[in-house]
Amino acid sequence: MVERILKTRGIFWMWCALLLIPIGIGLYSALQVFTKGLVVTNLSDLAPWGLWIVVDLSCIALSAGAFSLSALAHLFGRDNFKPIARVAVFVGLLGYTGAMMCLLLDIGRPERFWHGWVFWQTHSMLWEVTMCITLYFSVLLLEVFPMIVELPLFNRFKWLQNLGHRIHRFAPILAIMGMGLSLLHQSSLGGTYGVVAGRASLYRATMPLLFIVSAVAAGMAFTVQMTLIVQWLKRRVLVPRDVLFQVGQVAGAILFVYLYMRFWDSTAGAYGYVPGRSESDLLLTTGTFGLTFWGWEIILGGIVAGTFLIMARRRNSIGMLLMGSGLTMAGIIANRWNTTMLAFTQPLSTEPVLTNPASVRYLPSLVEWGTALGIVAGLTLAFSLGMRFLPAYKGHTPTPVASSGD
Amino acid sequence: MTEMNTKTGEQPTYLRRMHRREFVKLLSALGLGLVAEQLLEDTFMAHDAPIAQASTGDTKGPYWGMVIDLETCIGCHRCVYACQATNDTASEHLWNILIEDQATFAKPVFVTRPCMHCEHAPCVDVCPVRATYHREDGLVAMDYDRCIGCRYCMVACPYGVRVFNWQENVEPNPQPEAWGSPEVPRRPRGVVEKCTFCSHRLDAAAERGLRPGYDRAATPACCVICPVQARQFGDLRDPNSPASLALKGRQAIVLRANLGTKPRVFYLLPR
Amino acid sequence: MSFTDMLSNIVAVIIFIGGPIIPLLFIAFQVAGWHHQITEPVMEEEGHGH
Repeated sequence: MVERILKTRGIFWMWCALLLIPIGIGLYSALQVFTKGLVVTNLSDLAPWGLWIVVDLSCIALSAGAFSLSALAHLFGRDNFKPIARVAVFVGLLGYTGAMMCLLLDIGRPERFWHGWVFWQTHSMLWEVTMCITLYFSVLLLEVFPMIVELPLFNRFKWLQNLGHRIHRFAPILAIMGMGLSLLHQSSLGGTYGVVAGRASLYRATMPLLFIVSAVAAGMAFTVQMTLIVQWLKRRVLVPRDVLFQVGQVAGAILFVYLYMRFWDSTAGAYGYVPGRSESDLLLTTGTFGLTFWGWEIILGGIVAGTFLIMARRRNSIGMLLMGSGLTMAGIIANRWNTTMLAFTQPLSTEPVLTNPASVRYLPSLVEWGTALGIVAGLTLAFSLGMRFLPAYKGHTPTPVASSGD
Repeated sequence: MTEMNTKTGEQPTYLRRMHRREFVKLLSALGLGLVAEQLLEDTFMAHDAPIAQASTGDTKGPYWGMVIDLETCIGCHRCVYACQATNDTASEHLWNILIEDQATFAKPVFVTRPCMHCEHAPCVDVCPVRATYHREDGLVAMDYDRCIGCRYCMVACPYGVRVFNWQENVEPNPQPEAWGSPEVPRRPRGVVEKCTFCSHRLDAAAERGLRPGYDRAATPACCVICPVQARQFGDLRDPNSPASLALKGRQAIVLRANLGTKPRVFYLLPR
Repeated sequence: MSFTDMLSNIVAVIIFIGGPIIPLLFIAFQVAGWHHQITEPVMEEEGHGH
């Protein structure tokens, strides 16, 4: 049935029209935020960061395929990775767009978003993140620009297309810049949490390391996942199957490295008592976060996902590859959620005396969910349009297998 | 067809192929960029260097401190009310909060918690736009016109003293006149605010020849209103200031001393 | 742990784990089904369409 629907003409535009509904909900919710202020959220002075930060962190982590695959393709001589790096760059551009939309909603004075560029605070992790993200966004734009000006729409503007070709010649240089900037800000996003000495669950030197390693695994896996889905929907082949399997294996291996680090990082506290740290580890592994930690981060999004990603190649199983990458994505989102929420769920200590309420509760409000939904839908729409119309993602028509039975 | 796009059998790395020269160029450009960054930073830092770099160790002049006596505090909430009235904070948005702690000592004590005005303030370190900074006298202040409302300072504050303007404050001040009247303008929606040690009073004091800690008009509202003199304010470098005298002969603590933030608010333990 | 606690936990497990997995499984089967019906064309490395 799905097959027949997909073959129908106009289904693409119906899909786009369908996406306009959640986008509308998102726009309406964003309007609420911008007119009434952040009072429409469930954030509070005790839990000042919430769903938007989680979406922001997840978007950036899932975009890490752009820099890692570009680096492999352009710097480390894996020429056969170039097609998947192209997909990754587009995914990355959209991911960073989504992240910046989240941040724009999240800050109380969105009209002052540019203050970070003018009033430098060089020892703030968030300042470093701001600079790196905006610079890296420009790198991604430069990487995508040559693909965009290839649209027939731009045939009249030859100079634009020439500019595009010229920029494309610098792909390796852009890959170097992208790698540098990404390594910096993917890690310093973890550092943003890692330097917060006042919150026991966050204050750990492993934070930048955990963030970068998990982002590379998740970003690569997410690119594989998106490529597979696009190929299925377009009935075209964008990336050779073996490349997808190879990237899956690399992602799976990195995921296991990350998993090992994360496991010890969050359970080592059980072997001794460190004030605050031990309580937060307990909260993560056995308390409110036990289900998302063990279920999603460790088992499904970690062990199962990594095994699938690595085994898929030997089994020649696309289904396994897709399950593996999908579970990795879910695991990484769960990780960013747990990391953010754990920080505020644990009561802030003011030892030796007590001055703070015992516990903090936060669940996102409907408006927060609405904007998050709108952002995800908007990105999906942009991704659909890009994959449908950009010549770089035209793909190749495969031939059906004779023995497939139909 | 560019050279790079050519499919070659031996897969040479791009560096070997053509870009070594450009790579060197890029490296030197990066180096130049770093130098430029330093220059730019100096330029941008220049106009408010004193506030951006001051840490109390370097400051001359008074070392403002507050001493709160857990023995004498009766938990009457007057400091909370006076603070809200004077600084015109929205209801529920207290710069100075009071909590009864029944667990720590043999008898229950009341702990009030203003901003600690840390010497090594985590909020100052994390603010991406230098909207929160050390004044020349070392107090931690906010620039409401610069704050972007990212709330990283609230995440980083180890004492949870910062409050965010989730909406515009249009309600009348919840405190009756008896506790005081607003002395500072209201903060706009979307910025973070916190206790200032009534720095507007300290600043005015110098002009009017008043002495903070002694003269009521030059001392934080919470200290002035206290009916049992449980809160004392003054220059801790002056051995005869009310704050220094209060510390004499008493055992004093700061909150979360292990973090090394060096708070300027000291608590006297119950006897 | 009371009975309602246990029940809400079971429901949570079903929603939090089943929620994302069921659509994922469905898509995985569809995508894999199509990919196994085709043989890939021989692809030449080409810049971005030059």
